[in-house]
Amino acid sequence: MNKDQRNLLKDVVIVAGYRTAIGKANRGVFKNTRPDDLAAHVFKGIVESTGIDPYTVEDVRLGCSFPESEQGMDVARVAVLRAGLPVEIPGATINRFCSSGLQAIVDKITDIAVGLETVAIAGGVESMSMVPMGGTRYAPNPYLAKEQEETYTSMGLGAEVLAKQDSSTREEQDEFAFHSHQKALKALEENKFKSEILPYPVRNVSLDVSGNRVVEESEAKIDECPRKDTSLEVLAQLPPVFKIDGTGTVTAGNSSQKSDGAAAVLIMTLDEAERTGLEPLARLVTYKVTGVSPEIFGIGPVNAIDRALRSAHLTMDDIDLIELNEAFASQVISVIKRLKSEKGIEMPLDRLNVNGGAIALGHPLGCTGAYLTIKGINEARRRNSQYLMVTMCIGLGMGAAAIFKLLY
Amino acid sequence: MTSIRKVGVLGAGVMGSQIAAHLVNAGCDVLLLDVIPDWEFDSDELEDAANRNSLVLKGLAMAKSLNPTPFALSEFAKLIEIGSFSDSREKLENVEWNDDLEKLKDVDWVIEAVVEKVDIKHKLFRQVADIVSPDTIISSNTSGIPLVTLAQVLPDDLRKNFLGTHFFNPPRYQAIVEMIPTNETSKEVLAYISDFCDQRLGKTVVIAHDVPGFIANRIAIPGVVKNISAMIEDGYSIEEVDTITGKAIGWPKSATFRTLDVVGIDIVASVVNNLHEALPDDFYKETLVLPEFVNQLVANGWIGQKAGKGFYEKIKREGQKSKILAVDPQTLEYHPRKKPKFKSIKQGKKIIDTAQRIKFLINGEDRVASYLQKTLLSTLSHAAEYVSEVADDIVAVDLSMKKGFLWELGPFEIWDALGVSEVVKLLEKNKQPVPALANDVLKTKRKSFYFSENGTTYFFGCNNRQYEKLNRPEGVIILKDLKDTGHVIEENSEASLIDMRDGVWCLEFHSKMNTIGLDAISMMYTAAEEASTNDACKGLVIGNNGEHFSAGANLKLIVKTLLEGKEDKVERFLKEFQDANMALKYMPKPVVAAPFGVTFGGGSEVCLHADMVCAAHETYMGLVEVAVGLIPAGGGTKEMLLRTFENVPHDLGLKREFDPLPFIQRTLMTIGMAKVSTSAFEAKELGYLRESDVIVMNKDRLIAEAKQLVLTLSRNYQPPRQQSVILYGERLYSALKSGLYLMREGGVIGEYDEVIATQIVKVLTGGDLSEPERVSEQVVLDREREAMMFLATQDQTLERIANRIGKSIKSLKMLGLGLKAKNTLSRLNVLKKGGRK
Repeated sequence: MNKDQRNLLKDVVIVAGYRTAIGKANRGVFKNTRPDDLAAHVFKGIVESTGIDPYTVEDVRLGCSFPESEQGMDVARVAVLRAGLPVEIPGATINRFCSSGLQAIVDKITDIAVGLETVAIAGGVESMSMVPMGGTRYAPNPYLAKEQEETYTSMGLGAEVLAKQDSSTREEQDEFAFHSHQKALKALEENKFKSEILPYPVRNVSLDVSGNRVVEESEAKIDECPRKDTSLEVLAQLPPVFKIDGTGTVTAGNSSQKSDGAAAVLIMTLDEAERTGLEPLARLVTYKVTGVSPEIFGIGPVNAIDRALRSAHLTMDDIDLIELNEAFASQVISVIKRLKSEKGIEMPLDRLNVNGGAIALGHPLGCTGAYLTIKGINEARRRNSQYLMVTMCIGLGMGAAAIFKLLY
Repeated sequence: MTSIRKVGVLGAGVMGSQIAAHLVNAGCDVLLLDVIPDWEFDSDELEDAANRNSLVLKGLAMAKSLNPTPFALSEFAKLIEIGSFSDSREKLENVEWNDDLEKLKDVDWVIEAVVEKVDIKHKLFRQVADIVSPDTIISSNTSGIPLVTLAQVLPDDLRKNFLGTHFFNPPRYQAIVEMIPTNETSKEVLAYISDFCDQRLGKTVVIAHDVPGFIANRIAIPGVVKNISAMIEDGYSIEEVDTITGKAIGWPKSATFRTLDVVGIDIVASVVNNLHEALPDDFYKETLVLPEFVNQLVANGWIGQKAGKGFYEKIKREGQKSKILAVDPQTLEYHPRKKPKFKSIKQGKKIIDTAQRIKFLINGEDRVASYLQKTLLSTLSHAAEYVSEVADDIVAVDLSMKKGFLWELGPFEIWDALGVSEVVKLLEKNKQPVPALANDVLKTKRKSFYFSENGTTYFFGCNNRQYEKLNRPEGVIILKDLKDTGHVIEENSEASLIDMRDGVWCLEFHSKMNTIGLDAISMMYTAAEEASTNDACKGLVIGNNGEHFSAGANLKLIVKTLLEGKEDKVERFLKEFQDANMALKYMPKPVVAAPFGVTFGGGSEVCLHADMVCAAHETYMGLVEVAVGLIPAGGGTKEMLLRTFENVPHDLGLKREFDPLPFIQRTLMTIGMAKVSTSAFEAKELGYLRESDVIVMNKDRLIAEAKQLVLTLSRNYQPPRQQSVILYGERLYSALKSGLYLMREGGVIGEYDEVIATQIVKVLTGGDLSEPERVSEQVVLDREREAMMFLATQDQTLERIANRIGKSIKSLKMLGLGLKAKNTLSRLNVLKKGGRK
């Protein structure tokens, strides 16, 4: 390595991470709240709670899965302006579907590491209430739609394909979903997420039956997706929603919940952290993204996890905590099964999604990667853990896995 | 008298809630009230309106769950205002809430449909009398209590406004209401409410006397009982009776016992018992007793469809075809239903005319004849014996049977069909009493209950014993009357062109189920041509007085031609149908289609091309071609495409920011799922009708209403200008195709459904056009035919057609036999698979 390059390589750390509560899409607390407003709220919260000089922030990167309509127009820059931060702070939006939030964090860490910047904000945002999956104007590539029609398979059908390939039963999936809820409910009861959530003042204007304008104001500060009344019996009664020919196993109960939310972290060089007195929380060890066939996108994490572990010279035993996004119970089960059969890697279930996952807590697509990173770092610190893995499957057939080292 | 805007319905039971539903269908404001269940809740809980209204809510929920639904659109249920009242008003002291009975002061008509107990009804009427304004009309839906008894508790001024309005169950679908005035009911009130029920609620109104069972039950129920007791006496089976008393004699297919199962044997038993109690002692009262086995069924709880078993039981085991069992009246054991084979019934099927068929059957020498001589004969004599007791004339009795029990012919029409003197002879032969009325008819020159002369029908008066003119109600056009009086302009085997006077002509379909074949199409041309060139013609109605508007294109003809290997002929047929529709659409005079009942496929396509549609409330409209593996290719797909973007401003349609996808998706789903409307209102939702199209409640008035519309439109008529259609091309095609893939993968549609739907998508989008283009209607019509011909030559489509028209392989072979088409045989082999399903 020559001298110039060595000068560019910096030690980069995450020093703070905040998010909004995760709302249920379409009928939840954020159904009428704009995603750019949510992201702006988080940016402002980060600046205020860390007390950093906003003029030192050199870039903002935001992940978003359907960056159009209310979250279009480069939502990162829009949110910077909306937050009232200095106009000198630029912003860019990145899309790698469900890993977008994680991708944004990695992008900023690497930019800082190579010396392009010193301080940056990175995260993710998604309003599944306002921008549906597939976007507001669905327009698949005609060639692919004709010649490789499985390219645009729906996520739910992909989960069905995996359930079939890996013989995951309805019962297995429902049980997984049930446990996710149990863990999430317990975490909520213990107020585990309170410190990472920035309460959001929700305002809703409507007309009552007599046509009078009604303004409702409330504060959103609790993840609202977990269902207290969920039981195996209730789950067993839900009909399959994606495959309705009698062979389907994927239901609304064992799939992740459509959600709205925003999350972001503050990233800087270790030097800058020392200068500002902010406590370094974690450092990125490695990040791998790999591709598979679109219709089995759900097993994307298998290769990504394997490669990430190899590149970090770690084994699964070294990983203290895993945040594996629960897009679908069937998909998580397939990842667990195939990691073992194809890679010989045993998923440590007692360290997997210890506070519940997306089936219970929600999966706001582009926000998820950042949200899981924050959620994972906080739990890892509570446990004094060393290594955290954040991983997820990605639409159109991809998988991502990042390993973070906790700093104390 | 004020006009009726708001109606209060008291009692949210089976009848009350459904009457309320139909009033909403008719566009009335409705207040539905039932009693507060104060026996279920304590006074604190009654503070909660949901508890006070729990009976009404339950009734409405039940109504919503019924199939067929009482609501023309499911969201109509929300329009019913609900409330509740206390049946003992003294309890109301010291409560915070109001008794909703007070709200009756705003209603124009109160319909009482509470439990059939005199004291309860009296108490309620006393309360109602205190609240309503003096010109409020009050009626009872009682079927068992004399109206004069109920009227007693009303003050003088309200007694003038009181009468019985007896709806039949289900009130939306049963096209009859019996009006029962007391001798104090004012003529104006009777006339007004009759007119309201006719025009606004779409009912045939018959005036009945205030006697037990009124007309319909009084005449029909003894017949039903007779059918059952004759079965026991002479050892017939349930299946035999239903074979004899169904379509064979012009009764509904459900005949005697299946009808009873549907109605509920318990209900029928109580009607019979009540009637028995109420009747004076005479010959008929003695016979009005249900055989013991029927009471036993009721005691066992086997009361028909709602209990899962009655006279019949439907058994469905998983993975198997459902099986129907019938009960043995002797042992009460169920056995697999046996289809009785009566030679005479089979022969009778060839006789299209019901009157002639009944004549043939009753005059035979077999078990069918002897059963009918005992039962049907008894009904005929019973009707003639009691007509003047129950009604003002024989017409009301015939109407009641036809509309209330769906007989094709009323009892007096059957008398005439068989010949009055012949019936009298049969009665004498069977030692049954001969009614005096029949003897009086025989004294006349005509010797029949009805006769027609110069387009006017006369009937025999049951009181004055003289013939009277039968007045068609104003606003009812019977095409037969016009045809009988020389108003036919053109006529062929499937359709006629009729002059309806005032310059309005009617294109009438009259083939079996009014299917559209070559003759109907040629008449469509003739109509367009003649109407265009004849100065006397102001415009055209497309309508008929049949049971249904049209079941669509003649499938049998299409499949036969395909089997003959004459695909070009099928394509020519389609082209001619398309051209005929276009000719009607663009002719220089207005065309109003008047659909009702089944309006499928080609029937819908005819309506889609009309300037305006005047649809009966009960219109079951749908482009159902997909069900037989085809697509609408008579211009239906094209018209649906036009309508999809009809309200999109011309310049917006081609802008990039306009997204046609959600609109076209709806259209694709409507055609692709072969959606059929359950009412004219739903036809508007589905896009088969325009918001501006007219809905007529009373089917009998449809043609006259359509005629008026033609006259109105003709005054400032401008024929439609040539329209252009936007084909959105590849972007839309790919998005829809991708959606179809997901539906197939998800098991929502089958593989062949995807093939069919892809053809529809091609027509709707133009396929792989690089950018949206405006094209002429003809371009889309050509694509329709192309897609249709592609599908029509697929084996799976032939299979679907074979299944739909229910042809056995043998008869399909007969259709194809003797034809030299090279691939006919291989087609038939495929059909065998399909036909066996």
